[in-house]
Parts: sequence; C-alpha cells; structure tokens
Amino acid sequence: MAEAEFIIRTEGLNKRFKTVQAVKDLSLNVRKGDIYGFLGPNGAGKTTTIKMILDLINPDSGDVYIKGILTRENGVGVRQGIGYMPERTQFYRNLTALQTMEFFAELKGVDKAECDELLNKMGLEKWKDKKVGTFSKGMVQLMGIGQSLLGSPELLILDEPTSGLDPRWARILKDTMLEVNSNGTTVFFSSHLLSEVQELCNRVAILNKGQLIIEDTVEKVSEGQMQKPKLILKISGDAGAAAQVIRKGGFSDVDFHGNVVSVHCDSHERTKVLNLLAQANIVVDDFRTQEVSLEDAFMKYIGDERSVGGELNGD
Amino acid sequence: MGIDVNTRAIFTVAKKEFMDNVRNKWILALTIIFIILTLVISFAHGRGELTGAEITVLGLLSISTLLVPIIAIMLGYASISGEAETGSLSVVMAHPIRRVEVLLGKYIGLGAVLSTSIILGFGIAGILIMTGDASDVAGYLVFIGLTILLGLVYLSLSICFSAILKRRVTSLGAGIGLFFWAMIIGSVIMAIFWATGGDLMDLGTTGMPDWMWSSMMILSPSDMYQTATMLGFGLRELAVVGFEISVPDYITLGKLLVIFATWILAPFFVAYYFFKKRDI
Repeated sequence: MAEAEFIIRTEGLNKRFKTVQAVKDLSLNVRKGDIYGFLGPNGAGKTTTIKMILDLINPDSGDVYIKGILTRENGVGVRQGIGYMPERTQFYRNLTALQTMEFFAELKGVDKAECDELLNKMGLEKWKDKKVGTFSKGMVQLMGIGQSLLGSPELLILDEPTSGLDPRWARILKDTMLEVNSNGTTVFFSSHLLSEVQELCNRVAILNKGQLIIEDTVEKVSEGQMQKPKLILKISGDAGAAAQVIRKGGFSDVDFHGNVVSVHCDSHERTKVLNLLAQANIVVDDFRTQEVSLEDAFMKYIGDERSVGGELNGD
Repeated sequence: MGIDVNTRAIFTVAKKEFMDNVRNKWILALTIIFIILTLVISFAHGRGELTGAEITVLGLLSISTLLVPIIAIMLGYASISGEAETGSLSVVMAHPIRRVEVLLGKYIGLGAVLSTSIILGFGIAGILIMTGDASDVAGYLVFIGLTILLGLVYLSLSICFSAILKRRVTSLGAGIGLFFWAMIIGSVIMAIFWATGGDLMDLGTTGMPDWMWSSMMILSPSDMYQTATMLGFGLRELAVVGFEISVPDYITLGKLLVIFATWILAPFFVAYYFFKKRDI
C-alpha cells in the first residue's frame, strides 16, 4: 500500500516513564477511511501512544508520520486536519460553553458559525451561555467531542470517547462517529469496551504492556486465536461430572462453573456433546451457543489475567 | 528556520486567558481589597483630604509591594502545570499552534489581567488624588507603570515555575516560596550586612554601602521597585522614621528598568526551554 494511504504511521515508538516502559517498539498503520479501534487494558500505553501521535509527548525513539509527514518536523501543519478529544478534561471554568467552542474554532481557523451548530448537535444549546465550570462530567465530555468535530477534520482521534457518557449519549456519539466516517473522516479511538469496538471498527489493534499484540481487521483478530463457538449448557446435577464426560468424549476446551458447563466446539459437533450427556444420564435443562467474539479473542491475546477481566466488566 | 510565529494564535490564547482569569473570583476579591486599601491610605495621608501625591505614593508602596506579587503569583502558578493536569492544554496543543505561541499568549493575557487589576487598584485613588493636587500626574503614571513591571516580574517567575514543575500543587508550593523570597530578601541582605560586622545604626547616618545597594537592586525586585518609584518622582533623598535614605548617583531609573526587563525576560526564556520539551 502506498505510503500516502496511511493517515497515521508510527515506527518503533518507545517511551519510558521513570521505571515503566510505557510503550515499546510500537509500529501502527492506520489507513485513510478506517474506523480504527485501539484496544488494551488500563495502563497498556494507549493514551501515551495517542499523545505521541499528536506530538504532545516526545518519544524516546521512533517516528510518527501523519499523511506521510514526519510530525516532529511539521507538527503545526499536520494538526490542522486533526480533531482530538483526550480521555478526561476540564475546560476553562469561567468561560461559557460558546466562548470555549469559539476559542477552539479560532485556534483552528474555523468559521464560528460551526460552534452553535456543534453545541446543538451535542445537546448543549440550552447551556451555551453557562460557564463550563458549572457543567457535569458528561456535559464536559460532550463539549470535548463537540470541539473535536470543529472544521470537519480529516482525522478524528478520540481517547476513550464513550467513558463517562450515559447510554443514550454513547449511542449518539457512536452514530456521529459512523456519520463522519461515511463523510470521509478517519476515526481512531481507544477503548476497553470490546462490544463497541466490534460494532464500529473495521480495523483494530490490541496493545498490552506497551507492546502491539496484533493489528488487523476485526474478523481476522477475532478468528486469529482459532476459537470455536461456545456451547453453554445448564445441567441439573453435578456440572463437574458432566464436564468429565464431555472431556472423555474427546473435547479438550471444557469449562464449568456452578451448574453451567461450557465447551468450545464446531456447530456440527453439538449433537455429539448432547448425546454424550444423554448416554451418561445427565439431564440438560437448557443450552445456548455463543459465537466467537472479539472479547474472547482479546482475553486470549492478553492472557486471562483477573485484573484485566475485572476491568473489562467494570465499565 | 527563522522565528515565525502566528500572531493570531497568540492573540487567541491571550484573549482566552484574559476572559477566563479576569472573572476569577480570587483575582476579583484581591482587586477589590486593593482598591479599598489604596483609598484608605490616600485619605489617611491627606489627613482626610486627598492630596500630596509623593507622600501618598510612599504609603501606597506598602500595599503594592504586598498585593501585587500575590496577584501575579495567583495568576501564574497554575497557568501551565494546572492546565496540563486538567487535560485542556493537550486539547489546545493538538491544534495547529506552536508551544512558543501558547506561552506568549499566556504571558500577554495574564499580563493584561494583572495590569487591569493594578490600574483599577491605583487608578481610582489616583484620579481622586490628582483632582486635589494635580502637581505630579506624570510621576503617578510612572508609579503605576513601575507597579505593572513589578507584577510582571512575579508573573514571569511564577509562569516559569509552572512550566518546569509537573503538578499543580508543586507549582503552588513554588509560588508560595517565591512570595516569601519577595518578602524577605531585603531583610536577608540586611542580615548579611549585620553578620559581617556592619552596624545597623550606621545605615541611618552614612547610608547603605555600595555592595548592599547593588545586591538590593539586583536581587530584590520589591526594593528595586520602591527605589525606582522614588526616582520616578524625582526624589533621591528621603527621610522616613529617622532613617535617611539617599540613593547613590550611579543608580538611575534607566538602569533599574534594564534590571526589571531582565527579571521579566530571563524567566520567559527558561520557561520556553522547559515548556518546549515538556510531555503534556
């Protein structure tokens, strides 16, 4: 692929904070037109990477190219076409929502008429003359999204954009991301919510402990671990015994918890599993299947650490 | 690469800083205290009448040497570290703007708030004094100008600390340290004089030795400011509560202005050096 078609390209980025290697030899390729999901548990180095892409943090080594231009050498030029929203931010306590938007519009050299428009879009029209210091966290987040959309940027970089938003606004944000993408904006966003990444993105990267684990299409990443769909069975009786029976029948990927047994198997093998249980006189109350998800793949990729699982359920 | 800065971007940041900080309730409160104190002092020195600009100004110096550093440090201490901590600086810096432009915008915008506060603080009393005795309008205007310069010294220093230090609290600590230095450096020089065998009683009769004058003028912006104000009114000798102060001839207003400029500009360059390589 020609270089110009990569809107973001990083080469061998490294960054160390005192004792922690935050990012290690990281090379990413984001194509023009992608909705690109940047995944990883907390502390994986996502924010550090984003800030290096934006020239906010100086890497210890490595290069960032935006549209083929080395940002270290022409940061001002390339930032013209970028919209960015950090993970969390406060704006200026004593400025109103409209004044804040106008400030960013002026910095970007964008028509101020857009400010009203975007405040409406973000549902803040009633508060546009109120001081931002009085806003709730979610409203500040909406302001942050609003300013990132000023001037219809070519590249939108959002750091954990849906955290802090209620489900309704998270939905509106996701629709907005799809909408601007269909108008030609490349969207790069970090998240630890796998369902939203699976829903929105065409390409993903998984980062763990500062290192890139995989970068590919959502389908490839999901299938990459050669996972089979999951068959989940509810047993009346001892699930442990049922798991034994299934294992003896030739299935290796079997797990149980309470009265639930789960086994990874292809769809044509499901009747075999049910037959094994019937022959052992184990009564199956209920069963369902679960297709391969990005979440399963993610857990496999980064190792099934409890801390990670806790975090994934947390938000 | 030559120096090319985008003045529009600088102005945009300056305007934002001004609009945000001019409505800061602490700055507002200090400005009101400033106005009230100057009015009270002006009345007291005029024995109920507002008159005698020079005498009144000497009283006003005691207010400005205390309040102006406080206002300046309050404006500057979190200007970079605080904004970096809240994340808004990263949003600003993701725009097509250079770091030098952000820094200049902050200096100009905050300097404008500081000047507004000082002009209000001394201006209202000044108008009243001058209507009573319009003898020295020029001297009074020089006095206001010198007060703004004093404020800019502390603003520049506190922005510099804010650019170097990572966190808001540590830069607040530095700001408090800066204020104490402003208050005690004159006494420290006095203490050195005494400790090295100088007789404090001599100061009243023969005046301060040259090394003391020089170090006061270079190291203590407050003493420099007070001396510059005397010179601004054309006074070289002054008797205050038994002390005879006689400013040596080699100390001129022009030289003091150069020292002022150095105190304002040097921290700016240090701030720029650290801000340029800072991780935001």
